[in-house]
Amino acid sequence: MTNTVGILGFQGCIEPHQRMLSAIGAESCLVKSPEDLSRISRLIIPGGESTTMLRFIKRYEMLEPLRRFARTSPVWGICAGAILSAREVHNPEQDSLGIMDIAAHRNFYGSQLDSFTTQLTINGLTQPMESQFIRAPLLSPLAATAGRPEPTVESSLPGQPVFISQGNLWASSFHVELGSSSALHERFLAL
Amino acid sequence: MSTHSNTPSNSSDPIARSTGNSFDMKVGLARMLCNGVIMDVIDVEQARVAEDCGAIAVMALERVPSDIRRDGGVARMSDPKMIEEIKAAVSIPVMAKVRIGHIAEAQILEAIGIDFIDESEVLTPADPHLHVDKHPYKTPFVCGATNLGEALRRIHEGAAMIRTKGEAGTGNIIEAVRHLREVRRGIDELRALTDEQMTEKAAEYRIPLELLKQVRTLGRLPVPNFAAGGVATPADAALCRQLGAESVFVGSGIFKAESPTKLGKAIVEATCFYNDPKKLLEVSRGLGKAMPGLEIGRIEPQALLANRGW
Repeated sequence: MTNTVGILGFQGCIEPHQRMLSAIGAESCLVKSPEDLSRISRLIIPGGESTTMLRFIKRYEMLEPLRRFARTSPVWGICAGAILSAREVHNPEQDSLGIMDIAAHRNFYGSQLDSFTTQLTINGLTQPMESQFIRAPLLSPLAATAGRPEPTVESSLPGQPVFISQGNLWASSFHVELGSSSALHERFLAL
Repeated sequence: MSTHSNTPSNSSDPIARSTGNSFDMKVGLARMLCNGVIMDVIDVEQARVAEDCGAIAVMALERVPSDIRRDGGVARMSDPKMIEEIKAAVSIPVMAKVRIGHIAEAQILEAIGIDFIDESEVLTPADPHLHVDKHPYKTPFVCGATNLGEALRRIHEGAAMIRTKGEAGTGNIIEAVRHLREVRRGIDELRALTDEQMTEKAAEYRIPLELLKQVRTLGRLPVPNFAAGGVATPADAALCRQLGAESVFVGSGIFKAESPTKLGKAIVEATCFYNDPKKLLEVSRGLGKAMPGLEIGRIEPQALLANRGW
């Protein structure tokens, strides 16, 4: 069984993940086709533009293969990736993979002018993580679809969940790959 | 500088947040735009086409570079009204251009809440000596560069993204290639320099030694490096990516072509699959006529846009 981490490779903040994974000794490769999914054990859907990525996912007929992959393997959607993972997308409404029972409200924190960095306390991590919110979506848990575990809020800002897990699936509205700590990547590798 | 005060931190907020104009935040947005295509659009209709083609961002401007080149005269920041209309029409980030050194135009764009400001040689420069000091702004800036020294001067001034200048509005890729190679050559050259030579090089480039050392250690620019100026076909986009550009700006290339939607989609695909010749072949077929091109040697030296900037 491969232990390679796939990074959805159509667009977005890809290289910082590659660097961070390589620094902790993990193999990674870009995923741009359904066949690529057979070469990986887990997948990161990086930040970027969810509309652009969605267009590629549809064009390369990856909606179903990605949904199947997520039934058995860990997937971490970050910012745009979290939007793609969500069952419901608002502002505007948009198709998605729907692999997690969460809602994503796009650009909730405003434009670039309202982007910010904070030290975030995350369940299971002893140290706060440097986290960047860049045109971030608002995430909220929904009732679990039959057969899935309940979504769990792993970290929040006052009143606003920012990191939700559901089984082996993660959605974070913030970025950690732009900081210096690989703690969350290490935890993802342990799933 | 900025009066924008939508800062979420206050005394009732137990979590300290640093907002706005930290340099890292601005570079963060630039990183989200990597591996994609930014398209020039002149109205809402084109902006929607660009979004539908898979653009990661649009550049809102009244005239594309080839029209600016044809019309002559002074080219200025676009009417904020058209920029606001485009911003309202699409969900992807919107950029707009200010003249080199025009701090008031930059303040106006920041007040609109634009996602990125391009301090661009395509517009007529406003300051004969200085570029905008970009650090006080919350909005990130992208600036053009023809070589490493110029790129680092812009980064030192606060640019969160560098793009080649190329030669805008020509549909001719040679200058963008020249600039990508020049930046690369400049970085490679640093490896062989002694400490004393590094100090001399920093003085030559008019930048702090620390920034030059950082570039030598990283082996690349500390901000994303995109290609712009002359991209007219999917193959042009793939060429720039293969030479190290992390994304591609397409100015006149798309909407001056025979079939903008087809070409726009093909350039987006080529930017993603830049190192896959079969895919490039597939997307390059039957796209209709590209924009008309201009040979650089036929342009009067004083009309070369890449020479603007200091």
